[in-house]
Amino acid sequence: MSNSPNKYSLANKELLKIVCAISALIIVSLIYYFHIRKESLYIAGKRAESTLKNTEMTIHIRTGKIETIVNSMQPMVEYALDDPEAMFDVARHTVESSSRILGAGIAFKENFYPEKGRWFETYAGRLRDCDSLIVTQIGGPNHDYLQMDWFQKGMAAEKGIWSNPYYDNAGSKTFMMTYIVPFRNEAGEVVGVIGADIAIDTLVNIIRGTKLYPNSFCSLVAGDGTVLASAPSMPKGKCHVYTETIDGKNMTLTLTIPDSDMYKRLRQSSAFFAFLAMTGILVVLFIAYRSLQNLWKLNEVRAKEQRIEDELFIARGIQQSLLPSGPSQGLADGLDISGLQISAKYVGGDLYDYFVRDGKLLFCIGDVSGKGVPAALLMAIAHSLFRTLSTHSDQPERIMKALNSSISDNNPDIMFITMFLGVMELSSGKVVYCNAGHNPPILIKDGQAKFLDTEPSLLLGVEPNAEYVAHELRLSPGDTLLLYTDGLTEAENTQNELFGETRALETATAVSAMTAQEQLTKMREAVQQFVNQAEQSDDLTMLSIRYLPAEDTLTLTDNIQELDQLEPFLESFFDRNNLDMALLPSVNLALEEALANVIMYAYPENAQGEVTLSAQIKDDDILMVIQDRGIPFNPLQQQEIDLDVPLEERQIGGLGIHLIKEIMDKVEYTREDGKNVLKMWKSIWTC
Amino acid sequence: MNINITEESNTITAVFDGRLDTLAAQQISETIEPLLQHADQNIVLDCEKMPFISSSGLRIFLKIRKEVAAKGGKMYLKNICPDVRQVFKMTKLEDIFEILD
Repeated sequence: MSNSPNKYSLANKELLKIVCAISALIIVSLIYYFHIRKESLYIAGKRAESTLKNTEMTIHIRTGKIETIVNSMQPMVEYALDDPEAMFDVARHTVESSSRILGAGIAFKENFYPEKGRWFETYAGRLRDCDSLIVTQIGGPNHDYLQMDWFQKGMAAEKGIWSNPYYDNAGSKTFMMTYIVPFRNEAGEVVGVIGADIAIDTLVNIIRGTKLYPNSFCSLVAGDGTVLASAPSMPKGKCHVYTETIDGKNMTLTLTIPDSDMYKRLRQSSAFFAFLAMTGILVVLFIAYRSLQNLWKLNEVRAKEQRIEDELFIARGIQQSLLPSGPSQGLADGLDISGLQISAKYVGGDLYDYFVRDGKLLFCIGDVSGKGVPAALLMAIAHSLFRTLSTHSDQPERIMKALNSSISDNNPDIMFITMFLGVMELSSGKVVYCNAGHNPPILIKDGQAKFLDTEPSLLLGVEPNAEYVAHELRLSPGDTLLLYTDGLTEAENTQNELFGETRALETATAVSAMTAQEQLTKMREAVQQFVNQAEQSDDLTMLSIRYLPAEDTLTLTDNIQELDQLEPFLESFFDRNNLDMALLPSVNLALEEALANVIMYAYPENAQGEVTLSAQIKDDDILMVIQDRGIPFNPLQQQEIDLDVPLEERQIGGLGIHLIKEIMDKVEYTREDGKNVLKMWKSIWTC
Repeated sequence: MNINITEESNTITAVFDGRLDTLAAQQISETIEPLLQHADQNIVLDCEKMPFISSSGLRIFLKIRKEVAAKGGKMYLKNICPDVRQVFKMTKLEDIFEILD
């Protein structure tokens, strides 16, 4: 027995759903993460830009003060241009104006004061301790400022300019910048420059104070690429660098933000979110795993159930194959039989069977106590016993006794069977039957259903030596013997009401004229309609046996010569129905009279017509019916001849009718559907 | 149905051989002409070989009897089988015909 390939499909589907949901969560999270990251970068850029602008502004403010001081010295120098000694005071005054000014100098063009020589530059500078100043003339071959860049640029400038940062070898031994303002003589020629030095450190301190992120830093780069201020150590990894050129000072400010700093908060919150999500996913997976385990277990149970169901399905097939199959109407002349079984479960404990042997129908219907497989097994045994025993005997009481003894002998579980078993003589409709505790069958006679009044014998399987009594019953043509199990009368609807005997009889009456198969179909429909939605609680089995001996029919054209077919027809009919031959001549005579009557009078001279005679055994009578489509004519209304009147006075006709009435027990004329119908009954018992 | 008619010393014997049913009754209307012509004599209808008679057959018998009565002859039936005799009884013709046993 192989497992279904889809055994785990349900579990797999659930698993797939969970995986999909988690994947979706992860994808959405990643998209969100990268979006936030982009936003962070944008915001950081804006912040960096604004920070750089602020820093630049601070630098301008700080250097602006120096510019103001130096600019204010320019008119003083120009005013005191005739007095070289005053230039020392100006230099001193300049340095004293701001603690940030390291030193200030006033340098004159070559040979401006002839008495001072080629070089003349007054200089005031702070000493290392910053508390005292030195004031001196520093121009000379060792300090040839005329060749220096700041001097030449200053001389060429219209107004004050900042020098490039440079390393001061002479004075402060530090990086410096100098603000240089040119001054003029009365003729308007530039004759020298005033310069004030500030330490680059002054600016570096501003930059150092600029902290956007814990590890971000600002650097200051001179126009020639010299790094004036930078981080103590370069951060590792990727960095984002923003730059800002400082107007008028040939310097560039850069702000470097390490990648790790920029996304630190994002990383922190993402890590927290990821932690939460992972915890959630783990919980979901755990729950899913537990449910899947249950599903797998369920699947295993289902597979087992399926296997049992498959086997039961096969068992059902075997059980169904035990029942008679094939067209039952052609089973034998005079018989219309049909069986029906609907099991409440896969296999049932009901059985029915029938077969024809030597002109007799042997049939049975039974109900094994209990349901399901045990009942089905006993049913199969009982069925097989019935088949075996009934091939050797056609006496119901003997078959029943043998059945009972076999079943009783080995019946540890005390299961029992109710059974109705009968043998019907197809020629006569005589039924000999035994009833082992089974429901009394329904007998449908003349369109009326009633229960067969019968004294039941003991159930099968209870007492090995039980005796069974046979009873007798005679079915007339058209009669039905309807056998059933309690699944019919005890069918229960949702209100716990039983279908019951009254409904069974009513339904049976309603279906009396139908074929056996139709009867059962209608009965089943009635039960189903009654039961409605309720689950079928018990097996429903029915067997309908209709006795329908073929009518013997003789059809003649209206020709007297054809009457010679009558006698052979009757002889054959009497023979087949085991009727007393002593009755034949008189019956023959009556029918000849009746038929001759029709042939001679029913149809007009030239018209051709037919007349049919049908004969059958009905109860204890031979029923003969003559039908023709001739002119309406009731032969019985002809005047009865008076046999006591002297012969000479009698009419010659009427003798035939008289003979018919004399011979037959009952004669009846009707006009039906444009037909003359003459019915005649004659008792089969010879007087 | 055959009718065998023989004449012997003023007595005409007709042997009815076969079933005297409706068809036969029609067929023998000519065959019995000689009997009707000699209705002034003794006529014996021998029914030994006649197993069946219908009302039409009875009418043939009644016709002969009528003719005999008119012409002053005599008519007898003999060797009637029980089935046929039963028909005579039912029609009360048993008493009308002279039956030789």
